[in-house]
Amino acid sequence: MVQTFKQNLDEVKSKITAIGNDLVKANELILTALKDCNEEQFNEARNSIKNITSRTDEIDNAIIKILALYTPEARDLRQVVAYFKITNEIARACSNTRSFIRGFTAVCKDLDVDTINEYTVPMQASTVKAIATSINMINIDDSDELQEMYEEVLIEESKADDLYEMIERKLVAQAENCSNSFEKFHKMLRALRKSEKIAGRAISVANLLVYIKVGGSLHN
Amino acid sequence: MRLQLNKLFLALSVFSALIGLGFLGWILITLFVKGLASMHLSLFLNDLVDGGLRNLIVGQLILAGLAALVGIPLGMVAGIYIREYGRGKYAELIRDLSDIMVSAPSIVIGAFVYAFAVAPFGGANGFAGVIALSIMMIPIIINTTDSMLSLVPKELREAGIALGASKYRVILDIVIKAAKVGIMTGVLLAFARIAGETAPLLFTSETSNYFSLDLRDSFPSLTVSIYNLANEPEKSSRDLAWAASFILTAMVLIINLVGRYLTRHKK
Amino acid sequence: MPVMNIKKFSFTYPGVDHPSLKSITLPIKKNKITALIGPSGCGKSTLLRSMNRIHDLYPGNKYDGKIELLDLESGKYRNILEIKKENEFIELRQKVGMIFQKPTPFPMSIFDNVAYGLRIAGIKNKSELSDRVEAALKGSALWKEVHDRLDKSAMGLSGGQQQRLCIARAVAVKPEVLLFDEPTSALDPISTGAIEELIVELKNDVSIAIVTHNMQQASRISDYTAFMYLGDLIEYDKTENIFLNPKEKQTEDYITGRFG
Repeated sequence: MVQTFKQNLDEVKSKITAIGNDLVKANELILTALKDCNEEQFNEARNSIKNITSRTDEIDNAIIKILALYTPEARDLRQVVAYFKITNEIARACSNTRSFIRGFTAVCKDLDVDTINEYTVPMQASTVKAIATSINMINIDDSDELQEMYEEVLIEESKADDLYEMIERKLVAQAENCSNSFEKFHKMLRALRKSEKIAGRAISVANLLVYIKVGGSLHN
Repeated sequence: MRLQLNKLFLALSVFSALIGLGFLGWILITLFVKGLASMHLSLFLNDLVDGGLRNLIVGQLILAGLAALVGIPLGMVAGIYIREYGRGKYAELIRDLSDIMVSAPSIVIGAFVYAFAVAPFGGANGFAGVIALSIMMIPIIINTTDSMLSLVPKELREAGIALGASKYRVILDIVIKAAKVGIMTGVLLAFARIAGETAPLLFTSETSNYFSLDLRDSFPSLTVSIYNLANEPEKSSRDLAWAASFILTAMVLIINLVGRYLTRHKK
Repeated sequence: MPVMNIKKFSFTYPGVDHPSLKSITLPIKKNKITALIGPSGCGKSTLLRSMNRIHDLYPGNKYDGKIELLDLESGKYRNILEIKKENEFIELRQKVGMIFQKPTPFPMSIFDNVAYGLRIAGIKNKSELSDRVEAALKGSALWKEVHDRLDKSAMGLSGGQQQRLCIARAVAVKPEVLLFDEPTSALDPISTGAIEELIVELKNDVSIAIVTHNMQQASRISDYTAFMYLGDLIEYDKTENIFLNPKEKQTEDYITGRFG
């Protein structure tokens, strides 16, 4: 293929890696902010992914241009299509992150932070690990390594899932004892649910990256 | 049914081919047998007056050689002209005339040359023979040069022009070089053709029993002498005619083979 | 400033009563690749061959309009349709080179092939010839393959090598514009890829116009694309616009393969 195809594709790849890294950084900030409901850090996290939409639009249009001009085939085609979908997943994960911040900061001061932190901190830690690993997979080429990292993402997501269930049970138990805080507990759960979705996105991303290398058909 | 028809036509074709080949084979074998029987070394050392063929062989080659010297340049230049420079109808006219001349009866050419190069000059002469052979040779060379040049793809000429070369440079440097082998083959085959002609020489240079290099008089010719010898009643003359025919055939064959060898070698 | 300006150019072949090109207006931008695409018979090759007046090999053509070539020294445009003198034709063709669909190596050595245009231009000095031949062959990614057999016949090269030789030959005279007439349609995919890479590199030194019936080739390598149909210029734009957002329905139909 002509040089320009590879150049264009590499540009898209680095742009995706950049927004992916920003997503990871935001969630890492959330991890530290969780411990004492640090509003400043939550704001920093939200700001770091504020202009994601314009950046994903840019990536989408670049990918469409690549498809129009270079009519890629086989692995090249899988790569371009996978990047298209990954961009969307990252965009949605950023949206989930912002929703989580909004939801969580509204109620975190009012509830029993220690109990929650027993579970939310490890849950967020697993989420961070999951997305960080999946974003790192973008620049890995070796299929064995890709497979290994994919397994890691699955494990972390599963952990986050379990932890969420435990929080859910704990909060419901607490709400039963304290009926006037029910709404707040509900809001908290909704926020945490958003965070849990982020790990799910990480699996989609990892899945797509394995698809590039291995082929077969797309499945969600 | 179709299969049987196929087989029938195949059989007919093979049969026809065998007839043609059969006659060719018969001629060659007869030539070979009769010719070889009358061959001996003295044929190459003595002139006809002494019962040999030396002067005739040399004479024939001289006539053909001189005709080639005249005919080849004229034919090639004309061929190049009509292919590369000719404008439509004018070039077509020359091409058609040349075609007609190729099939012109050689005896007519001989008679024509007699009228302007023999009669006014008081008798048979070698120059007239050379002229008659050239007239035969030129249209053949025009034709082959023209077709060999036509085989050169037009893109080759365009590529030369596209580099800024002028037309004549393109023709000289590129086109002729590209057609070189084909043109040379054409020249050789034309030479082989006229080397074996009789009718053009019959009334023009006739033949001579003596060794001669003087073109102002009748000039020794292998082909014309074969004609004469074959008509003489003595067996020795006819045997000599067979030997001469064999040598003539061998000469023409060798020239042809050389032409083919050169082509195969290049491609 | 475009290196060539085609203005309302019409062209009629000899003995034909309808024009093959109708009032074409098109720039050829400097150091860019402009692709001419369209179905067979649309006039793209006719237009390309007008840019170096190679039609004039076959007398009787009629034209209208202007084709202006930029004189790099004076900065002025010159209408090449007005050229009548032999030496001006030669000068034009040294500035505007052409590579054909069928590789056309001359029946001479590799060295003589590349040096041909240089010798025509009057360069006789052996070392200068040698240097420029080497530079041209290096610039066509052929040097490594042939540097040790420059005196061998060019006819012994493969199809892809022969085409690169033709490119080297054209590039040696340092033209301002290079015209490519379907340069890879007679070649295998690997040679095609090599030549496409070469053409993209060449645009640093020359401005390029390329006729291709392979749309993907046009979209891969060109900066600007002109779509032609039955002698008309239907659309001219940046390649990414033509292939992503064509303005004319005819353009879109052609690009998507719905006709032609």
